[in-house]
Amino acid sequence: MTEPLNPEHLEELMTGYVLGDLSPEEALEFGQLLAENPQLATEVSSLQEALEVLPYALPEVTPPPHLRTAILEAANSSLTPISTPKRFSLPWSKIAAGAAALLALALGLDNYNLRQQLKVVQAQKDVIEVLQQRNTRVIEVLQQRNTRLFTLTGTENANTASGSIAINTNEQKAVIVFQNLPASPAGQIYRLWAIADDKKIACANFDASQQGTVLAEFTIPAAACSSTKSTLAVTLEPSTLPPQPVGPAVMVESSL
Amino acid sequence: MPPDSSDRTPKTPSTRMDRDLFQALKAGQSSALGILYDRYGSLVYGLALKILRNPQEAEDLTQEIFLNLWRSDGYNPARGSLSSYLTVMTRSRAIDKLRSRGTSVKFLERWQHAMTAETRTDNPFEQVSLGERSQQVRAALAELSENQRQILEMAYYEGLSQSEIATQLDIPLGTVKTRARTGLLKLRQTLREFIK
Repeated sequence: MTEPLNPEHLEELMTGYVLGDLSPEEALEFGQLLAENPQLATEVSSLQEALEVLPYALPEVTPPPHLRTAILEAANSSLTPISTPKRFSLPWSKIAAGAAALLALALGLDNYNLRQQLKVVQAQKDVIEVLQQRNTRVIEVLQQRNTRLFTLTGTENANTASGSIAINTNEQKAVIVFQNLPASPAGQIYRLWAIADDKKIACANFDASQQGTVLAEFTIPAAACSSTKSTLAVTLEPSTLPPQPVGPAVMVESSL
Repeated sequence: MPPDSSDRTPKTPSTRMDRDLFQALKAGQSSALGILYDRYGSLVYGLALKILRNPQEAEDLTQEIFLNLWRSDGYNPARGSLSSYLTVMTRSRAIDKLRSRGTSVKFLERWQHAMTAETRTDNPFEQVSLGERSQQVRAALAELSENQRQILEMAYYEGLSQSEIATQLDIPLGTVKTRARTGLLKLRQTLREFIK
């Protein structure tokens, strides 16, 4: 793309991007333009902001008074709006061991390795520390029933990468555990997508450590991210922009 | 500039900044959730009702959004304003629910502000009251043509793509694209004090 840009065409691409309906060809073209003209990111963000102020123009509606009470009561008792099964409060060590086992499982270790892993108290402690550092909520996600496990493997762009995503459908929470994923280059970020009906829905973004491991927790932003009808995939994208799949796929969901 | 407060909801005496309230909320103070609800409950509920057109579903979604804020750390203050996070989450989940009502489940291709790269946290829009924000946006929308406004609203509130809008309005796709483009550029121009 060396010919001068037609401003109208560029504006159309940016609008399409903000409205989330670029065709695959347009997305590719726009991705190239962004790579060549990083300042476009600011333009796109401001158009994004302009669209996102729309709800302020809505006529004010007062929610029913009982809603406030219901929300605060639920928050105070930490109940979820959907009736979740009550969990037993397990001793911490059991929770930790369970989490470590699940984490090891998620890392794709076989049973033998799993046993070896669990014999090593230090290793277990490391895992727990990592989990604690991330957030003890990770453990809760891994602990619960209604947790679905998705397995992903690397494409030719990251052929040794593998890992799992545990999704708790009750709490709409998910934990990503990947290994051997190269650390993302400066200015780029990994994004997780759910592909459903030829549409790609952004689910989360994350970075890999220098050691190639990923341990991240996120809140499910859309039903497609936890739907069995969707296929999950990871791509490498510019980190400066709202999510749009323009970069190469590095991991895709594989059937167990 | 006046501090962040709400004159859409007169029963909110608090002028504490969203960021402080969010910190208090993370520390487990449900009173902070109450203040944030008084500040943004009407915005979230109004948006949910506009998209879902069903009071019960709008209530459920409002509860889901606020409890999600209470329970999770999905919101990162370094990545944008709380009000923007709430409206983006509400819209995206409401459109999801809207789409899943149909027999063929279709999902909206969307962005998630919560997950984008860092944005400015000194958002001028956050410095004015909700009432003033509403006035500004209504005035800005009034400067668009009816056609331009209609297309932006269909895209935003119904989650329709430009080609779906063209089909629904029975006009050429090129016309939809032109109206969307000129409308969005004009909206940004009118709100330029608030938008960088």
